[in-house]
Amino acid sequence: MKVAFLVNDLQLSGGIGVVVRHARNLVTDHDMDVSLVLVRDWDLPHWSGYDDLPHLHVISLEEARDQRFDVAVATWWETTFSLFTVPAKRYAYFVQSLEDRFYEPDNAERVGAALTLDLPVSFITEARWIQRTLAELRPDAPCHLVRNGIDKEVFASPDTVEPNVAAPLRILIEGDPTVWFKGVKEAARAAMAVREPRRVTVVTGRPEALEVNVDRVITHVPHREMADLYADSDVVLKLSRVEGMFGPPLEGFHMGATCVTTEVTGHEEYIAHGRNALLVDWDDQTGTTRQLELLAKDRRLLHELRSNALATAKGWPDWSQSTQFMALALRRIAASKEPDAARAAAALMADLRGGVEQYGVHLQERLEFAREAAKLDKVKALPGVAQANRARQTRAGRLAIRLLRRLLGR
Amino acid sequence: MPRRAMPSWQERIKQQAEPALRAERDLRYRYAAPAIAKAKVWCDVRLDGEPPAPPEGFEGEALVLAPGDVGQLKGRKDVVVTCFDVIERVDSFAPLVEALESLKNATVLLSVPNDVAGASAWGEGAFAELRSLLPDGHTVAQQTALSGSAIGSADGGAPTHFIATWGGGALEEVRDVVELDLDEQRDWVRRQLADLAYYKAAYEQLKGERERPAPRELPPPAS
Repeated sequence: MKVAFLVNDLQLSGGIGVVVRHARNLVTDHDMDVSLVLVRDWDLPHWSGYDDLPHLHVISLEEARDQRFDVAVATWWETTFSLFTVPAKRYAYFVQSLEDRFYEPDNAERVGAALTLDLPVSFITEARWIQRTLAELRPDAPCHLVRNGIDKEVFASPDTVEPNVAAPLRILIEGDPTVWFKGVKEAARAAMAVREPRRVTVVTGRPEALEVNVDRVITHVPHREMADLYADSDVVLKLSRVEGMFGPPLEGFHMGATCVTTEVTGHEEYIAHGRNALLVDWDDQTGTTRQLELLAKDRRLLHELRSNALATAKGWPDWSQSTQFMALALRRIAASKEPDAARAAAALMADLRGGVEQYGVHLQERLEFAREAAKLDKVKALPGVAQANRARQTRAGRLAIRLLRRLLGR
Repeated sequence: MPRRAMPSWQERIKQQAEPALRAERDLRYRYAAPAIAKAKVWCDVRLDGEPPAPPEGFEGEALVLAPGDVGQLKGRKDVVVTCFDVIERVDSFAPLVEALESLKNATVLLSVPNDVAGASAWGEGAFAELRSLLPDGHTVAQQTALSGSAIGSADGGAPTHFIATWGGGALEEVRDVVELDLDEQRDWVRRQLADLAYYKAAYEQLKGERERPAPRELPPPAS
């Protein structure tokens, strides 16, 4: 069976890592002929971060267009632009998150990413919350669930958790502080506000953007060393607003660290409040600090949560099991009927209409703001107004305003 | 004696398994019995051991096949396949699932354990993955654990309590069976184990502090 996974690039990242992992296992364990199709030309010489990609074909879009595949799979919303130009018997879309949420409401990409979920394809997804959402959005389209595995050799779980009886609470935060939905800065602030003995470690590739002084910053950590850092932690703190499968706490679970987290999408797959982790409210820095202080004070609770986290991890599949589901899903898609294009088109046009209307509302708001701004500019341009504004900023001006307010009783 | 957090697959399949586990296993075959009774062929897919006796009324052919041999059933009609306690024990389950799905004239019963506590990587999530690949129209039944108690005359089993009554008329026999909250049960057991490990470590820490020799000389006074 011949499969093409369309990728934007092969830079080391969570989403690409999942695709590469499945691709490798499909070749070695399931006798499939797998190509990674780079949809951007400039990425060809730039792929990095993987030891090697044995038996995998890494090809350009042009090369892929000269072949015929059993299944072509889009792996990121922008790769759907090229999906239907690759000759294939069936088309699929591996949805790793609802990617429209990566963009702010005014971004054009937000609508674009959402519309790709209306394409006439079979879906594969890695989280049950996405599966449920897709079932509501596209009841006509088949959706196969293939959860991400965990590399049990890298994240090799200990048999039991060593209790932290009296040492400072070891808090780990990871992520890019410049990504708005990761909540890394908020997490660092909440952790540093803990008044019990604690050690806050932030693992990030962008330390200069952190803006918070923490006990320890570690940069550019390879995957294998990340396992050691989790093993040296009691709790992983995550205040993300958008997640797909929500991998980092699960990796921490494998190494015996519990988690304090927001109720971000993906958490419900394996996190149970009070059993293996603690949940906190959105934008509640004080509450987050209190939960961490609770763990710092109540070491018996901390140990219960860590032990249960480890038990949860032991029940999570490895990559071998995960790719077996991927292989079954791809074979099922290859053998299935062609999706109903008319129903997909109806969904697409309905969403496009919604997007256009939403864009119209935004545009109208912008125009009204511009009109208000123009009025203010006119007032500012009146003779004496600019001088008066400047005078207000001077010391004498501020004193005069204060006196005037006192005289007027305000 | 509390039930353990999660039995291993070895405990589930061995003949001398915990009585409650044996009852669970037997009940899966009882669930399949009406379908087996009407079938021409009953195939029990298993890795080892013997299947139970066919249900009353079954007059067809009874087969025992290894997971890799399920393909032999292709083309046969009126077949019932039971595949219990197998999927979690094979390294490569995809060929088994594909072989079972490819049987066109068969009723297939496949069990998956809910091993949330790490006895295997098969639990609710893995079953959701499997379901997304099963043929349209499949149904799912959940096997749940029950806990019960009865108060009445002796019937041979070892009682948990003896209740003496006098000064009034004879009381009616009562019995109740309730569904066990398995999540809560497993959580309770794991907490006991975690607490034990914590208190052991805390004890060692305190002991270490108490047994540490006192300093022989006082530190020099700060100038």
